[in-house]
Amino acid sequence: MAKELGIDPADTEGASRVAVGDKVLEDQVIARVDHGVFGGGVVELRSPVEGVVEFISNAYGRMLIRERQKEAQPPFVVNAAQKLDIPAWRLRWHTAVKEGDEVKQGQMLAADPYSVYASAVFSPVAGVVEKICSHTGEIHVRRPYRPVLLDAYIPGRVVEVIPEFGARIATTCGFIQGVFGLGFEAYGRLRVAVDSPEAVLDAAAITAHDRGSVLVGGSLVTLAALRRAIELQVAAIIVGGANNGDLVQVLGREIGVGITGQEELGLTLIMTEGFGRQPMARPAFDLLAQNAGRAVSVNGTTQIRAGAIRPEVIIPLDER
Amino acid sequence: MGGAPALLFRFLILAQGAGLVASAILAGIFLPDDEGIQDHAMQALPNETNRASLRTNSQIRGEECSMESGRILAIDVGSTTTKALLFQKNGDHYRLTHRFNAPTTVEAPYEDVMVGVNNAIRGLEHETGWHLLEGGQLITPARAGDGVDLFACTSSAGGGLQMMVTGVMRELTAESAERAALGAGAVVLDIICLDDNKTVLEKVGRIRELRPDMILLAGGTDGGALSHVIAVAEFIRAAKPKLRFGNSFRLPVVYAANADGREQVREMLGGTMRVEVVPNIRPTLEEEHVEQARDEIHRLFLEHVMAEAPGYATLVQWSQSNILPTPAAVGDILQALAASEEANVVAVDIGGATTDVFSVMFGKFNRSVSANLGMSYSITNVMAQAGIGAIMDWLPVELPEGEVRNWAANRMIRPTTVSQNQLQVLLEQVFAREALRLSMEHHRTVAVGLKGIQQRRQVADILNQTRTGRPLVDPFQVDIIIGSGGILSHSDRRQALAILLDGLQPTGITRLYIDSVFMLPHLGIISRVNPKAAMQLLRDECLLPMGTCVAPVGKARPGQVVATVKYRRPDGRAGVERVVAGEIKVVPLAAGEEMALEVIPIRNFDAGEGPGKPVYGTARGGLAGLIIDGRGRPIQHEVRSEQRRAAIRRQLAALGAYSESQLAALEAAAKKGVCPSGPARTGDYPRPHHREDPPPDPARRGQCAGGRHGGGLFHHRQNRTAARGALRHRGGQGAGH
Repeated sequence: MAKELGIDPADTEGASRVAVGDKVLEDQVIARVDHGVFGGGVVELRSPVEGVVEFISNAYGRMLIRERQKEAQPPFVVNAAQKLDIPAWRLRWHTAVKEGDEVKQGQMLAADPYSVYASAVFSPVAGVVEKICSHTGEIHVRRPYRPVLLDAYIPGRVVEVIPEFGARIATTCGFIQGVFGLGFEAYGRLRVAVDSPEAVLDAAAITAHDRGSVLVGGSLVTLAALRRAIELQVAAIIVGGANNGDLVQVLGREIGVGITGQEELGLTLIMTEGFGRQPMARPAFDLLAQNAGRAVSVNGTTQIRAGAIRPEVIIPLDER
Repeated sequence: MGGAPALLFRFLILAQGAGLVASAILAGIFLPDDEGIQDHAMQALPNETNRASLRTNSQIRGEECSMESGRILAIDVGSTTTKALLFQKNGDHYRLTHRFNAPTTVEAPYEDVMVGVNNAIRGLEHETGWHLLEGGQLITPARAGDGVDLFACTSSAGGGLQMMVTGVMRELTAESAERAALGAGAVVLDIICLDDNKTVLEKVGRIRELRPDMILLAGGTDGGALSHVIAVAEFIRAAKPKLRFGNSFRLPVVYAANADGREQVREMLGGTMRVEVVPNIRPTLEEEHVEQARDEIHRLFLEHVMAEAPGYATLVQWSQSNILPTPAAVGDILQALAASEEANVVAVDIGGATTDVFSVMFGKFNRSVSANLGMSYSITNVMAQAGIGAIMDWLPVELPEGEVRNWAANRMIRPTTVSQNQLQVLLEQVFAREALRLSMEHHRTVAVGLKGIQQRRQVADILNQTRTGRPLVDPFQVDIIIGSGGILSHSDRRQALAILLDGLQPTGITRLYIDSVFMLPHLGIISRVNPKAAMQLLRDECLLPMGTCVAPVGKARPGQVVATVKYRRPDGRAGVERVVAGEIKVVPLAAGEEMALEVIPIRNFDAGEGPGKPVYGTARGGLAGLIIDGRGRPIQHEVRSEQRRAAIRRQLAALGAYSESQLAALEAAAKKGVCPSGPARTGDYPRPHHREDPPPDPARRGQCAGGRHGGGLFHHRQNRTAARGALRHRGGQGAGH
């Protein structure tokens, strides 16, 4: 910014017409400096994108604008063939990326090392290569757009909407707190897969019908049962205990500190008693058995530190 | 404190000393009235011995009440436990006379640290019969047998002092800033620098999200480029971090960077933050001056951070500024010890969530915090980092790997539980060995020389290129090792010695000590006011001498003689011992005794002076005596499991950590499983009897309630049982998870 305005970096903030936290539109004037009649006149700098000013640095003479992501935003088009001075039909011979590749800003898209003046084309933005056109010689880069879809987690009544943050949902429910869990929020129909809290949940007890359901085990879930549940896309397992070694095998790594909830396991696991073979507490088992068939929500997120977070099973009772 | 800070507090209260969680939980929150303590304590007294101890305390009151001065009350407000120690001057010497632990009450629902402090002091009042409080105020100075002459306090509650440090280059100024903050006893939340591979927004977001108590801004050398320091200051300004506690003061920023940027940074940040300028910690690449930055951090900690933490204002007022972060106090006393002994000192404090390692090497103090190596919250991380195989290698009995894994994981998910049987105690101890080893490795990466400095080389050095940033802790140069923390202070002393030996693996000639009741922080803060008393208490009450270890380094096949140790006692008696590879020998040498040593290693073994060269030194006695360790370094275990277990059993027996009958009992217990009666629950457990603690000095009989004297254990148990009684009294509210 300082370079384009022709000023000392230390004067960047003074030249800015916007402040940190301001929203700016594409092509809005964000900085202006008057060099005087003999110094080149007025120089203006316009925002290349729509977004929010996050940071202005006098040290480096830069302004950082967080671009607002828009689905309908057109892709950036780089006329690569023209820049490399090659026929459009030869573009694919020279590209360093292919359609679908994620590219960073400044990453090389194509190069012609055999030209007299060795040249290359770089991506102007971070995004995904959408199209490499051999007719026009252009490379299209679409800026990433990931809509955030957040499930309600539990059925209930929205009692409060916290603007730009979240919502509070109320429900009447049964609640069981486990001691350790893996995986994040999940929900499904509850099915008790064992006869008693002392029974072991093994692979044979899990069938193809259990896809998307929440299974209740007894004292232990075996490694084979865990693997089968993942394979059959069972939503979650609630069980008294599991062997640490089995979980390490399923996760592919040791469980270090007791902070979980982000595991991409394909299954949420709630342990109500602890590690090893441990019969589930009778009241918990009975509560789950009484509510078999209901849709329940579970969350394996655990944080074993002061102010502990323990995994939870929520059994909404006013289901509609 | 509002809801949000309280919630944050709950997350932040991780802790040093989490190994004492169990006693905190057991001790409940409220103390009953004095009558209640007496009743419950007496109900819980198991035998006549304890009753006798109680009577003894009552008897000594009369003698001590006559003393009207020289009484020191020191309190360490830990994350979970507030530990109050009372020292009394008797003649020329101070003694630890009483101690009392109470749960820390910094969290909701109390949110006032003074509740726990008052409980601890009331506990002491009950034990001593003296009045220490009057109208809610501490009586100081002492008068007519009541009150104390000096009150000093250390604190690590609420996560201690949480700092963020910044620098320009990670390996240069940021590293110096980190050393300064760690040395000041802070928890370093994160390090922000220009080459940390974070984007600008990530840096700003990180500062904003972590909400440090204080920021140390370092970067650049005096007279060097200024733009980089200004850039770092810009990140801080953009982040506008909010305070953890209170809103009545501005976030302190200690500017210890390029001197030319002082005014500019003060102008930039001064509006929203309190900028305090100290001399650059790296005025040139070849120099590092962290002392003034540390002092400023302590001052700001006292004036601002502590003053805003819930209840601390009163504590600061009581202590008349004799208050420090707990690790800083430990650092102070260790530096004093190193200076007085003219020795290089390494100390470890192993807790439930973290392990601190301190070193003073040739006067240079360093501290490292291994944030995820501990005995409860972080025990599975020890397994993850060391590998289950390394842990199993220390076991003298055969146990299935699955059981060890499940036991550790259950300890992690129920961190306030305590071991229920000797097998579980043994498992704790093998995990402690690996936690210590890993923490020491981490410390060696933190305690390093300056990087990026200019080195002058001659032509002769062409083949001898040395890099900068070399580890400062040379194992051969360490003279004294001190072990502290729950697992070491509360285990059988010889078992604690075995943990220390196996975990830290001292080399050359090293003296070993155990902190009797985790008294180092208390003595650290006392040393600021009365250094002489602190040093005397350190030697007489705190450090339990275990003996001297002689360990040459090298590789040899088991059974091979790797060195010869010649010793001569002051009375002229001499002896020769052969150091056998893979074995430990112990030569009795009582505490207070010394003998001259000559260690002559074989050609490929090094005892400190180079391979094959003899080393001369002095061995000081202790509980074990002269320990001759022939296991080489690092300790290599036998590959075959049966031979390995046999070797471990021999080593433990040689140290006296486990007798043959105890090992046989463990073997039998192992066949039944680690948890024969189900998983451990929060509850009472038999406290280990320190069978070899020296008997009380008849002259001091009954005076000392702490440390190595039986009374200490008794009183500790009394506190716990009394508080349990209180819980029953209140309807049996237990502590669960």
